[in-house]
This record gives sequence, structure tokens and C-alpha cells, in this order.
Amino acid sequence: MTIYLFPAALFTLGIAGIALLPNLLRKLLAMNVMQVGVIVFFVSVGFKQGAQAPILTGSEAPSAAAFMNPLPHTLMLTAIVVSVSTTGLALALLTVIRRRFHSLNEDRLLERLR
Amino acid sequence: MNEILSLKPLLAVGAGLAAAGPILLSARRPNLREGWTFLAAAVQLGAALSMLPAVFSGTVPLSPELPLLPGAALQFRADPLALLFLILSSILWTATSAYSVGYLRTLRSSHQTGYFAAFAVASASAAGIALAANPVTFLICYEVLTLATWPLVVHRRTPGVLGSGRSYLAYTLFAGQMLLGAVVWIAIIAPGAHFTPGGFLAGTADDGALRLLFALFLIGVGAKAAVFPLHGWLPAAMVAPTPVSALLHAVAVVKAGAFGTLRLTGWVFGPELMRDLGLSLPLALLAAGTILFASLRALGENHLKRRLAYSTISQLSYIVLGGAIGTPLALAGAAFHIAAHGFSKITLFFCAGSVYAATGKEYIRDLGGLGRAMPVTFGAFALGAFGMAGIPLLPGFIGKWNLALGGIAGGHAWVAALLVASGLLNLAYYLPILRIAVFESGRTEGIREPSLWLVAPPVFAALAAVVLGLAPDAGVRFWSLAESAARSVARGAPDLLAAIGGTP
Amino acid sequence: MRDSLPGLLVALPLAGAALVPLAAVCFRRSTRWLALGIHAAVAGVAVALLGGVLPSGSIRHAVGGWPGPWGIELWFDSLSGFLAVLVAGIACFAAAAHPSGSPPVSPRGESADRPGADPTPMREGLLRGAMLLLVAGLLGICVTRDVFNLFVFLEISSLAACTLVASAGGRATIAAFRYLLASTAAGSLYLLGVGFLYALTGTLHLDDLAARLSGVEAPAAVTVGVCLIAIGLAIKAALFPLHGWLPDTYVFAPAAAAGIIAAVMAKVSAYALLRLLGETLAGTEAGTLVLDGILWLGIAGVLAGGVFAVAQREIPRMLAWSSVSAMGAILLGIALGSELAITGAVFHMLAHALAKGCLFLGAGGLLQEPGTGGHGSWAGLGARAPWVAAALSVAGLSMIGIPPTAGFFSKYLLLAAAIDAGGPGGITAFAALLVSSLLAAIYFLRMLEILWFRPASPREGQDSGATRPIVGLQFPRSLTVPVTGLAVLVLLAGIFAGPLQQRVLPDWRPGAGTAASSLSAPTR
Repeated sequence: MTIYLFPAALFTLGIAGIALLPNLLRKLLAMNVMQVGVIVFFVSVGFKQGAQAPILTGSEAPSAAAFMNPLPHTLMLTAIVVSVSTTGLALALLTVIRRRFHSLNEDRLLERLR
Repeated sequence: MNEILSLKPLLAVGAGLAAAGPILLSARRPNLREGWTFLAAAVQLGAALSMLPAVFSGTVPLSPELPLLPGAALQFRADPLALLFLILSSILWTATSAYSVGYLRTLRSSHQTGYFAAFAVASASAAGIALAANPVTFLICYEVLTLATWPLVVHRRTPGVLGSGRSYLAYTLFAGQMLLGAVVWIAIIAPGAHFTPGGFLAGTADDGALRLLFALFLIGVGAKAAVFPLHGWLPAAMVAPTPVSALLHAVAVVKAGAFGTLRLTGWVFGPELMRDLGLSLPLALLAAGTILFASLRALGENHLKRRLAYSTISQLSYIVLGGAIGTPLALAGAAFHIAAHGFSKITLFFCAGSVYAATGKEYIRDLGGLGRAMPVTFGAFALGAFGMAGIPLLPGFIGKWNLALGGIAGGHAWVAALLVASGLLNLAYYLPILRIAVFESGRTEGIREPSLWLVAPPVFAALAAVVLGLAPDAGVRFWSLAESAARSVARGAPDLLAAIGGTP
Repeated sequence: MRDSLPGLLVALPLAGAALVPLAAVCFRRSTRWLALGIHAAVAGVAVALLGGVLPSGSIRHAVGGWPGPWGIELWFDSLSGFLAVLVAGIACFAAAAHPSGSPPVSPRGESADRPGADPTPMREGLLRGAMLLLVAGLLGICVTRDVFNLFVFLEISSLAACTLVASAGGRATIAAFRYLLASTAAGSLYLLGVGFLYALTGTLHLDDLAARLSGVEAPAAVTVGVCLIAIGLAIKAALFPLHGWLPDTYVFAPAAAAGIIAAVMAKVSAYALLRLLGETLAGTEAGTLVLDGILWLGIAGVLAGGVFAVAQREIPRMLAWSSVSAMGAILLGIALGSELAITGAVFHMLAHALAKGCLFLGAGGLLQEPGTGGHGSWAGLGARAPWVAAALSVAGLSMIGIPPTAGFFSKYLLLAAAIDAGGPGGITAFAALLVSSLLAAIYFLRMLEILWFRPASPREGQDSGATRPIVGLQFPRSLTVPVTGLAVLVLLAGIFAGPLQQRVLPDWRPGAGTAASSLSAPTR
């Protein structure tokens, strides 16, 4: 059970960072931490103590109890791709914002929005 | 009453709607544009009159049903009360259209095309309100009427006028929302119900819910009927051009509210259920309070049109009062008063508008000597004013007389006293206008009667009012319509039938 | 053949998203018509599918031949069909409104001075591709039956939407970044919730999930998972008080993007919420609890959105807040859960999507009028472009709920559902809906007054602005047709409300049992 504390901490840190940090780049980093939290959570869901990777090596009859669940791990491949594209787009936006407004401070930028 | 399928109700509603398009497209040719208006008014009136024989033979023309939603369909039906209101508004629409032509052209008003288009839509929706067979249809026409009249009220487009327009919308849309709530509620507890003489809600929900429903519906129709404390928009809306005030605020809008109140008390709840729920007396007292309050306010009002507006508020509450009392005579009196007040009040507004068009004067104290310079106009004005006050042989008397009798029959003897008092108040605020106009002196050089377009309509309306007072059952037989509407409501209550009298 | 058509709904715009930028580079001129053709084809497929579904029952398609619960299944019934037609249809109008050969102008007219924003065919192709990608994501949400697949489509659509918003340049980039943060946080919350449910049940298939959840012995964990999913989707659906991203995003998006984003994006998330909570989890303890919470938040949103909309001085911002109110009404209907309420909610999606699409396209068009410095003058539009003003008025009246527009009937259905449900929630919802449409009357009639009764002057409707006189304003041609077209649809949807609402949900049954039992015999 304790294994889940780690993703929980990552996720909470990330959410708090998105909400509280003043700088947009830091917010983006917090967002990544949050996403990693979710990924770690899924990976731990699929993990099983003492089990092996679901690859048949010999001719012995496969027993499901002996293998880890590969599905959450493969799902996370997709989630990582999503995360990478989000980060890429966010960085591109930050570049434009920085060039245009010479600041990444949220409060200062919000003043410009009003 | 047996119902027959007929397209005439649809024709009556559709004429005005169909005319709006051609009117907008004929912006460049004013005479053609006004031709569309008169054509539509004639079609509407013709459709209404052609349904009279059927109604007097005991059948009710009913349009095909257009289903909208579960428990809600668009349908029009010409029962006696509907026909009374429809014929009245068709006649007065024709008269007002003629008057509008004179008024707008005399004053060289802008936006005339939009004016006539909105006028046509407003008349169509008034016809729809009259002919609505069920609460949903009533609601739809009611909302369209609100919006169609808005451009008319703010016709002059100045900031002050726009502000008054906002206040007009605030009242009427608030009322519309309340009505919407009530109509949805009715559709849930009594799906697919038509307006039924004697009401259809008995036993559909518990007493508390029905009282709340009544309050919602009453706010909905009461605001347009300018029942205290929802009357504030009517004096404010007097910023509109006078023909608009005349038709919409003496006939279409306010009468739609008063008509809706009658539908509510007689055709949705019914007199019996109202009595059982203890709603009759509070509503009657509210109406009585409005009558006295508005009469007193009228006394202190110096602006001619606003004084007429307060008079309207007080007269409309006669109709509400009749609906509240709910005895056959009171209902007949109230229904007849829709027509009686319509003819008399529109005369007064026409005259006020003619004075403004000819002299630019709006305040009563400035009218000195005009009675001698414009004898025809002020003659018509006098007839209208005496009609309002309920002088015998004029139409206002018949409505009030039956209301008083109905009130006494229903155990509300105070109604008679109230009506006498309000009649005296009527005289107290109308006579000074005539006195100033005829006996006081003022600068009247060069002032004479305006063009025929502005003189003929008030004379016509005043003469019609006189005819209606002398022979209430001549011509379109307004009295018979009112009486058979009241009889149909009372049919469920035979003990009340004995109270029905004849024409007075 | 028929059964694999739902896949085409996603594949077609996805392929188009790749094709259109390529074509833009190679052929330059034909980008607009190619993109429009693909949008039209997608809409055609959606309509054909809906037409096929209505008489003969729903379609289940196992992607790649892997049947559920292991593979991803697409599921097309009349409800998803309705949403798909709505999305694909609105997309056609938005794509038609997308300007050709010139960069979209931001609300403040900033793109002109933004470096590197000169109109190139490549840029137009990429933006048109992004819109197709957005459509692919939204349609995917409509048809997928797999909760993880749903997550992917959610992210695809929000990334594409973000790109479109940012394309206006200037301040829109800030709004786009904040939107990206909010929607990524929402997506992660949703995914975390899916992880909970997966850990408990070992399945990602909606029908399978419904069947297995009843046997789960850890109700607290289910509740946490469902709550996380609900919060995630509620952020995307702009449920008050999680709506923070919405106003800026809608206001700063360029016309065409605002047209589709404001019209359908939040609604598709609400639809996902309906599928998950109203259908799959209906009747479970966690589902009931969360739906109850959504009902009260929906009521709060209906009122708060209305109040804030009244307080706005700029019309686009007022429109955005009115969307918060409308989303509250839709979610409130979903939370009430009766057949009448769901019908009302879905019909409200239709009415609101058409009207808001029209209004935001119109607002964007006004900002493109030359000579206003990007401020746009709503005042006097009735005189200089009567058809556009009439269209915007029809849309505004529909937002208030004036008959015979579509908005009247959706409001009617929601009110009826609320009074029918009764109880404190139902009565409060009834009152809140009445109050909110009164508020809507206040702010939309103010808009109508500005459109028709105020003389043109640069200060009307925009409180901060240039004071130079406006001469020779002209509403952009490319937007006139979409705006008036949508207004006509608003009227038609109102006039044919009866037949429409009878066909929206002929086979809607709250509760998951029926859908799950049909899983044993997949119709492939």
C-alpha cells in the first residue's frame, strides 16, 4: 500500500504547484510532476511483488498469477506521448508569451488580459 | 359545446405575421407598405367575423394541432371570449393603422417601416393570445407580444426612451418568466389540458402547490394587466408614440393581461376551485386596491398621457375584479368591459395624440382653449371620458353595472360601493381636462383640427363606443359573446345560474 | 460495412488533419475547399449513421477486430449520433468561417504587429488541420466505449483547441496557456480516477465496468475514483466553480475557433460525464452521490454565470459567462437523470451550441471589421448589416428562451424535468432556471438594444477603446453565411422541436444493466 504514497505525493505537489506558483514556466514544471505522478500510479497498479514480466520463456504452462499486468504499463506509453506533446505545445506558447510580453509572471500577464 | 376543425383561427393569427415580411420589403414605397397593413387587418377582421355565426350556433372553431413537446401543442380555438377579444383588437388595429399613418407622417417620424412591421407582429400575437386554446400557446404568443412591442415603445431611440423601454421589458419579461414557470408546471400536472370553462386543475395537486401555481400565473398575466404593484411599466411606456400607446397600452398588451386573468380565473382554475382555495377574496381585494390607488394617482398626474395610463390601470382592474368574483354576471361584466374600455380608452388616446400632433402639447395645464380650437377632437374626448366614468347609456356603465350585480350576487356588496367611488374619481380626473380645454384661455392662434387621418379614427371610435353603450348587442353582439362566455364558465355550478340576468 | 462507419468518424478528420497541411504546401489555393470538403464528408457520415441508427438500433464496432472488454469498442446509438451530428455540423460552419489568406485577427488586433504572423498557406493549412484534429478528438469522445481511449481523445481535442486559440497571437497565447494547464490538470485527474477504477475492476470498457463495479467491495475507493473522474470532466465541462479557464479562452480565441470551441467543446465533456455517471454508474452509491453534488453545483453555476454575465461590459465576455450559465443548466439536467431531464439537457446542448456558435462567429466577425482597431462596434450593426444583426438577435432570443427559437423548448424541457423531479433539488433547480433566464433576458436584450437602437460609435459595447470615428465598416463576407445559417438552424430546431426531441433519445434508459447485458453477444 505504501507504494501508492509516492505517486500521491507527486500528484499533490504538482496540483499545488499549478495552483500556487507565480511563474508560468514553474507551473509547467509542476504540471509535468503531476503527470509523472499519474504515470507512476498506473505503473504501480500493474506491479506485483515477485511476479515476472509477461513473456513466455519456456514451455511450462503459463499461470496468470506469475505475471505482472502489462496493460497499465502500455497505457502509460500513450500517456507519456500525450504528456510530451502537451509540454511541447506549452513550451512553444511560453516562448511566444515571453517574446511578446517580456515576462512569465502570471499576475503581471493577467493584468494585460483585463 | 362541440368543436369543429377550422383553419379560420390560423388565418386570423397568420395574417399579421405574414404581413410583416412584405412590410419590411416595401420600405421604399410607403403607400404599398401601408397597403399590406390594411390588407392584413382586413383579413384578420374578416376571419374573426366569419367565425361569429358558428360560435352563436354553439360550435367552437378549432385549428389543427401542431405538437411541440410532450404535453404541449400549438392550437388555436375561437370560443366566445376569444372572439370578443379578437374582434375588438381587429377593429381597433384597423383604426389605429389609419391613425398611425396620419400621426407618423405628420410628425415625419423615422423608422416607419420597422414600426409597421412590429405593429403587424404585435397584432398577430394579440390575436394569438385571444385564440390560444391552451396555456402553452398562450405563453408563446404572450412572449412574442412582449418583444414585438419593444421596438414600438422605444420608437424615438433617445437614451431616456431606451431607459423606459428597459423598464417596460423588465416588468413584462419578469412576468413572462413567471408565466413560463406556471405553464410548465401545468403541463406536468395536467398534460395536454385545454382552457376549459370552469377550470381543469381541481384535484391535480395539493392545495399549497395550487396556490403557488396560481400566484405564478397571476404574476405572469397580472404584470401586463398592470395590477398593483406590477403597474410601474405602464406610465413609463407612455414615451411611445401615441398610436402605440393607444393600441398596445389600451388594447393589445394590457388587455392581453386582463384577458389572461379571466382565462386564469375562469378557464384554468375556475370559480369553484378559486373559492375552495381561498383565492377569490385576496385577488378581489388586490384589484380593488389597484382601482383606488390608480385613480388617486391619476388625480395628481399632470401629463395627459400618463393620466390616461393611470386611468387604464384602474379600469383594467375592473376586469380582474370580475374574474376574481367569478359569478356569471361579474364575469360577463368583466368580459364586456374588455370591449367597452377598449373603444373608450382608444378614443382618449387618439385625441391626446391628435393634440400632440397638432400643437406639440403634452401637459394638461397647457390645454387651455384647445377645446374651442379643436371641437371635434375634444367632443370625441368627452364621449370617451364619460364612457370611462360609467355614465349610463355609454358602454362603461354596462360593464360596471353587471360587475356590481355580480359582486352582490357573490356576497361582495362592497364592490358596488367601490364602483360608485371609482366612477366619481373618474369624473374628478377627466372633467378638469375638459374644463381647462373648453373654458380656460390659452394661445390658440393658428391651431386647428389636424388632417383627416387623425380626426376620423377618434370620431369612429367614439361613435362605436356610443353605439355599444346604447345597443350592446348590435352588430358584432359583444354582449352576447360576453354573456355566453360567462355562462359556459358557470355551467358547472348550477346554483349560480339563477343569478344570470339579461341585458340591462 | 455499416458497422465500421463509426471508425470513419474519427479516421476521416484525423487523416484530413495530416492531409490538409500537406495540400496547403503543395497546392496553396485549394486548402479551404479541401478542408471544407472533409468537414462536409464527416458531417455526411455522421448524418448517414444517425439515419441508419434511428430505425435499426445501435451500432457496436470493435476496433481492429478486438471485441470488448479487451479491445476498444466504438458505440454509436442515437445519443452519440446526435452529438456527432452536432459537432460535425458546427465544425462545417466554423471551417467556413475560417479566413483564407489572412491571419485571424485577435480581439485586440495584435496579430498585425506580431512578428512572423504574415499569412502563409502553410499557416492556414496547419490551422485548418488543427480544426480537423479537434473534430477528430470530439467525435472520438462521442463514439468511444473505452475510458482510456476517452482520455486520449480528450487530450487530442484540448491540444488542438489550444493551438487554435493561440493562433490569434498576442494575449490569446496567455489565455491558451492557462487553458492548457487547466485542461491538462483535468485530464490527469480523470486519468487518475480511471486508474482507481481499473485497479478495482481490471477493465476499461464502460459496459464491463458497470457490470463489475457492483461486485467491488471497497466502496470508498470507488467513490474516490468516481469523484476524480467527475472533477476532471467537470473542469472540462466548465461546471461552476471549475469554470475559471472558460471566459478568457472564449473571449480571446479567433472567430472560427471560438465558433466551434464555445459551441461544442464543453458540451462534449458534459456528454462524457453523462455516459459515465448518468449511464454507467447510475444507481451506484458513488454515482448517486456525485450526481447530487453536480446538481447543486449546476444550480450554482446557472445563477453565478447569469449574475457575472449581467456584470460584464464587453459583449464577448458576457457571452462567455452566459456559457457558464448554460453549462450549469446542461449539467443540472444530466444530474436530474430522468428521461425528460436528459432529453432537456441534450436539447439544450443543441440549442446552445447553435446559438453560441452564431454569436461567437458574429462577435469574431465584428472584431475583423476594418477601421475599429480590433474593438468591433456592435452598435448600429442593425443599420449596416441587417441580416447579420437579425441572425445575432435570433441567437440572442434563443439564449433567453423566447419562442419559437430552440432555446425556448430546451428551457421548457429542463423546467418540466425539474418540477417533475420535485424535492428540494428539483424545486431549487426550477427556480434557478427561471431566475437565470430572467438574467439572460437582461443581458441579451441589452445586446439587442445595442445592435438595433444605438447609433454606431466606437465606445458602445466596449468600454476601453479608441474614440476615432468609424467609417465604412463592413462585416466580413466570409462570416455572413455561417452566422445567418446558424441562426436559421436555431429557428428550425425550435419549429421542429417536437419531432426532434422525440428522436433524440428513443432508447435512453438510465442505468447500466441493459447496456452491459448486451455485451455478451456483441454485434460485430
